Amino acid sequence: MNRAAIVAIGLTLLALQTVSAADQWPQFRGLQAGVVADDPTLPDSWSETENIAWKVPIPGLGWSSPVVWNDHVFLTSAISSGNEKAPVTGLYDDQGGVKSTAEHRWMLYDVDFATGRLRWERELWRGVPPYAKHLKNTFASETPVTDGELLYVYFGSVGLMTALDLNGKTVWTKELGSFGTNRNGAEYGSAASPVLYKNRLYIVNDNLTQSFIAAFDAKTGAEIWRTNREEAGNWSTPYVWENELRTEIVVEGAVKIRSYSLDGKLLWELKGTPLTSPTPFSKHGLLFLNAGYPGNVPRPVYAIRPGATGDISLKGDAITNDYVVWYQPVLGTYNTSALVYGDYYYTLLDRGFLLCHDARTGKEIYSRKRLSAEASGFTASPWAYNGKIFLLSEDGDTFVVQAGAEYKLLGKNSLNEMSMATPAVVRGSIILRTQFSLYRIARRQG
Amino acid sequence: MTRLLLCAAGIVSVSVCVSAQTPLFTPVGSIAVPGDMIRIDGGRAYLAAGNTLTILDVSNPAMPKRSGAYEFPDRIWGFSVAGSRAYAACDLYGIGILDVSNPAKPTLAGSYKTKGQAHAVEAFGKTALISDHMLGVAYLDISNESKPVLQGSVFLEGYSRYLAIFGSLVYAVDSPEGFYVLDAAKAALEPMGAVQTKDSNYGRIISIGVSDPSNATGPKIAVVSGGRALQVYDVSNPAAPVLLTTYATPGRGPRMAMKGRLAYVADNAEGVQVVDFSTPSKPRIAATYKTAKPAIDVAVVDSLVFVVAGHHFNEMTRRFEGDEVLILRQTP
Repeated sequence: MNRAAIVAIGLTLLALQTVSAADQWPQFRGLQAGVVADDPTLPDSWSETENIAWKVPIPGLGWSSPVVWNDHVFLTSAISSGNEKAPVTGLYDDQGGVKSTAEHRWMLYDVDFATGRLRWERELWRGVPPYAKHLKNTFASETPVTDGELLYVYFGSVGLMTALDLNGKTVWTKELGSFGTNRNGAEYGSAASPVLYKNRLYIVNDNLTQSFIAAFDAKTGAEIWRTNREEAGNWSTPYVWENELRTEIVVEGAVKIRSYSLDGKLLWELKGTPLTSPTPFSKHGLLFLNAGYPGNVPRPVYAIRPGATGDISLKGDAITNDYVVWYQPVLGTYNTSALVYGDYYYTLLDRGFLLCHDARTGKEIYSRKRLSAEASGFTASPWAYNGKIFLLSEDGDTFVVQAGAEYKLLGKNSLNEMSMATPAVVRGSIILRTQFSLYRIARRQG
Repeated sequence: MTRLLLCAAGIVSVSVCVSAQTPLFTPVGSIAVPGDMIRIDGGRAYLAAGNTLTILDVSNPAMPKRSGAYEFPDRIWGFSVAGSRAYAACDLYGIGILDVSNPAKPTLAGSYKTKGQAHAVEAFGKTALISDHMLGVAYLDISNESKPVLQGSVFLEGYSRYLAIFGSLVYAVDSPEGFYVLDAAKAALEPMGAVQTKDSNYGRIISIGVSDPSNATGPKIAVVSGGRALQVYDVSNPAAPVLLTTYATPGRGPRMAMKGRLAYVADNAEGVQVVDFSTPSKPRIAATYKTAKPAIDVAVVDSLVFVVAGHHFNEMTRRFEGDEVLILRQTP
């Protein structure tokens, strides 16, 4: 073993000591569904000038979230060569789909965590987007995922799935096809992110041609299995639920919420909701499912215990059954995923209200609290640390609320720029994407 | 008998079908103009179509004339007129306040960007009440029209779709939850009463009429159209509205105007249907006026009935709108 090798091993060991797996943010909402371990170095307040370690411009448009591995911050974007209709904050409907005829470049960026310097960028696809999208959606809304060896990028808008090493070298690429998801006369685009679990990459693509969930070998991209789904549109990222009985993949759906075994067999299903964007997650031994559209009923939230088989839909007026531990018919949200922090289940309604329920029983702790009448819509999912909950509005304002049974608004941190992406929170820093920029928010030293 | 047979066979495209002691309609004038919604105020007809508000001089109903028009940046979902001002709810643009003192040249007096889609707007003194997707029912101080100030809002469970004001009472509808009554005279606009009407399935085009209690006996009623059927509420006690009944007109038209206890429904291909709510729990069709083209909206002032008719697809609103206004005289 030569001296260089010894040095390399030493550096690697040092890196492993200083950056543990818990210090990474490898996927959408991190490893704990938005909950971050307490860290006194994390900031409570910031502004465009306060507690900003760096800010870098990000060309194009994308509402994918940043992911972080060691000193890499990865981010995707789609850059148009034309003039596109700008996204508009707030909640609205009947806007139709926004079709672009301009050539786009689908991009991946690696930004240095410490300095914000662009380490490398890769153009992964070039072309005219084949389908329209919702005015607020982007052509790069799926968040990449990494295991620290490879980074997996999926652009549903063009059907591209690519694995790259952390130096930006493409390891494999697959084209899964792009599909329309026309609903009510409008294309809304795609958003469900890829999920990685034990060397397998899982993709859900619900569309009008043939909806599917598929598993791929993470190292080679080879398709391991594919199960067709009777669905026509879905923007919810699937969730791998490791519970006390088994590990399963849970997928929201407009027709049905379904859970699959790791080899693609249907385990159980539950009546779906018309529009699904939030992501399932688990805490306290329960799986939480949440979806709904403000203009529709029901907008259900379910807490599910492990071990279900078959159809576990509630019958008649029942609000529980053997597997549905609790149910709320109109608590579901349109875009934001819910947060369980401590004993409480927090709901951030898209129109700027926070509600709190007992996570284990569904009992209401406090009802709708309006964060601000001046707030615009909320799309980013909440996160929490140090006994505080953080709620990012589309205006770029992060409302800070005290966690616990009593609602108390503690403050508001403004970046004054449209924001819809859920940030990454890692190693004393918040990596927050706005419409045009990427920020690292961290307490100023000294 | 002959008249009844003709109506039943649909032989004539424009005809009058009446039952005993019901209104008769006589066409007195018409004008070709794009229109989706119509309001009448002070000898003028105001028509919204897409993002354009057009003003007609209808002081001589036999010879309506176009006076002027104004184009807003976004499509008009709802509007109201009060004296020299027209208030337009223009989707993501928010609301626009138009000075219509000179109908030949309406000018923008002010605007306010609401947080969501503005769907309807009404003025109450120096307050503008807005149906907004994000806020529910928002109320603005418009003392300074060039700088409206948000005073507050009342959150509605679903998407706020429409509101109308009668006296000081605001009647609001959201989808899919229900029907609300608020008092605009109170400083803090809080719902006095609300009815959750599950599965009401309101569309995006809604209208509300309230019976005029001065010339009718029985309870004060509010009629909401825009769902599967007209919904009739007893609003004698606005703090506790009661759903009395629902009634589906043949064309399921979403817009109507109310006069006394008669609801004039622009009933799509079925023309104008006049629904009599003298016995609110037992509505009946009192008269029908078959229009040659689908009836899109209707307004009633004194003895005149203004009907927007047509079948023109508007790309901006992605729905069919009218291309002419018919003016009918009603007797008695």
